[in-house]
Amino acid sequence: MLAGVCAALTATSAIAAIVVQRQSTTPIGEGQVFVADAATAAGMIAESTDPDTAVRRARNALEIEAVSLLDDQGVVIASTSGPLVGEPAHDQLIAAAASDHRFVAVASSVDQDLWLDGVVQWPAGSVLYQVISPLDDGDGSVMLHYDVSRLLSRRAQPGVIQSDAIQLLGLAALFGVFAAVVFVGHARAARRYREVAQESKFLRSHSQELEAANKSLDKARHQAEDALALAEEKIRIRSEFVLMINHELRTPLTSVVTGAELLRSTELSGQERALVLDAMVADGARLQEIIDQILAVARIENRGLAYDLTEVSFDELSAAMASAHHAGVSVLPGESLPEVFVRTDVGALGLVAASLVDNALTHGADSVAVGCSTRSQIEPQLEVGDRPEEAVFITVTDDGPGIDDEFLPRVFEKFEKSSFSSGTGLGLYMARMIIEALDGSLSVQTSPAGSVFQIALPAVSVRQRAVVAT
Amino acid sequence: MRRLMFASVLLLMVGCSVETAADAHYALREGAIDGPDRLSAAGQETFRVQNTGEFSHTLVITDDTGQVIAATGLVESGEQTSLRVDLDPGKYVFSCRIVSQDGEGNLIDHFEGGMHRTVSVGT
Repeated sequence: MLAGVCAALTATSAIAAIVVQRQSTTPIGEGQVFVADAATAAGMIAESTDPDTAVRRARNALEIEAVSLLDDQGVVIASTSGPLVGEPAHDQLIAAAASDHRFVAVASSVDQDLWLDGVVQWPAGSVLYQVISPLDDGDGSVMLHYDVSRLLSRRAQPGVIQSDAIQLLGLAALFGVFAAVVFVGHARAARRYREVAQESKFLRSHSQELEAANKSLDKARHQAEDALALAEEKIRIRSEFVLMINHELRTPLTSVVTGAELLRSTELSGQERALVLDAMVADGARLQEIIDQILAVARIENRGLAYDLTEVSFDELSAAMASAHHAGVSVLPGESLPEVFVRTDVGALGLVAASLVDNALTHGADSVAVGCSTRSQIEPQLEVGDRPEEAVFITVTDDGPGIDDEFLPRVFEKFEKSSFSSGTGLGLYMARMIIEALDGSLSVQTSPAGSVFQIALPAVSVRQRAVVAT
Repeated sequence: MRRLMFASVLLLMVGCSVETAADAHYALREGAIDGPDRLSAAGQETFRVQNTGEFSHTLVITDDTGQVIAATGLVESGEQTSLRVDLDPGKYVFSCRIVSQDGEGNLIDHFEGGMHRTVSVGT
């Protein structure tokens, strides 16, 4: 902005200098000079009562060759060139102007000598300018005598640089230098501003990259923490598993070994021997059960489940569940729905039902009921897997003490079991894995009066739906 | 033959645009001075000066420094006079140096009005 103003001032000053120079060096007409000089001389003559003194003062003031005073007839009545006094104006135009009170100037050769200070300065034939201007009072005229060459030299000389123009050019140069300084400063500031803007842009970009990197690092840190927590949890689970295995396997194994040593080293009655053998068989069965569950879970985890999927009707499914019941378990009579079909592995489903029944009996239930229905029987407090939109439900209801609230969220997790449980912590986990593999869900509702585990299986064809009679 | 024809044409062209001082004739009229711009011969010559305008005029000859070389007296309308000059080769200004005022007081400067002509004098 400031540079622009200075540049404008520079241009203005330069233009003004050019205008002044042109005006100063443009030749002016003599007319303006004559008018001004005649006015000066007329003023002096008007102020003085002595014409001779007046014309001398005028000539000296104007620094011209001669000043004369003419009457109305064109006769010189006073002049700084003595010989002219009493002579009429020789030039016809001058004489006519004197009589008509007009202004006129004529450059031409004079007819007679012109004396100056008593000496002939311009002999007859010299080229002089004779100017006549009427006086204001109408009484005569003043006549000025110029040497034409000297008169022309009074005009401005073309090609000569005028002082005003020099001053204006100097001013223009000063503004130009100032504009250049401002421009250079502005250019430097602009360059620095661009550099700072680029640095700022780079820093912003770098900051964004750092922020993204931080987010990525945070995410990685969280993942690492989660992984570490998971690893720690697995380590804890494995440790607990080892302890559990140590306890669960050693207890019956110790019982078996102790029983065997007892039979070998001690004389027992037949009844006592039968009791020991029964206990050894029971402990051996317990060992086999634990080992079977561990192997089953490991097999499922490592190789997945191989199912034998078949489409069975609701009635067939109800019958299969009834056959999977354990001693002391009553199967609720389900409604007969021959039009409802389920595509599932009935054998695997029987194992899950049996596992749920065993789980209930293990945890203090006196009775367990298994039922089938096309409508959900509970409001689940916990459900794993995705419940199908069209489903057939299998419920396992017990009258046990219920599941502890703190333990409930982990009830379907691997090796999780309540503090007073004697199980392996694998039964419900294995049931969950099987049900999820069958595209069903497993849920539970519990209270101090008992628990209900419910399996939801996808119904592949529901042609009729009936209300469940419990 | 071709050289002769070329020289003839060249002389004809030069003769059409350049006059000798002895032949020079200048006419004074309001707003202009009519006459040749180039004079072929330097030295002492006499110009014929004629006032073809309505008012009185003069003819003043100045060199390129403004020095007056020669001047006529007042030449009345329709009159003719002669001016004897001694010109060196160079450029000169022929002009009328009359200044007057009209009835309304406006200056009438014959030089500013156009009565000037630059004349080149050859060697």
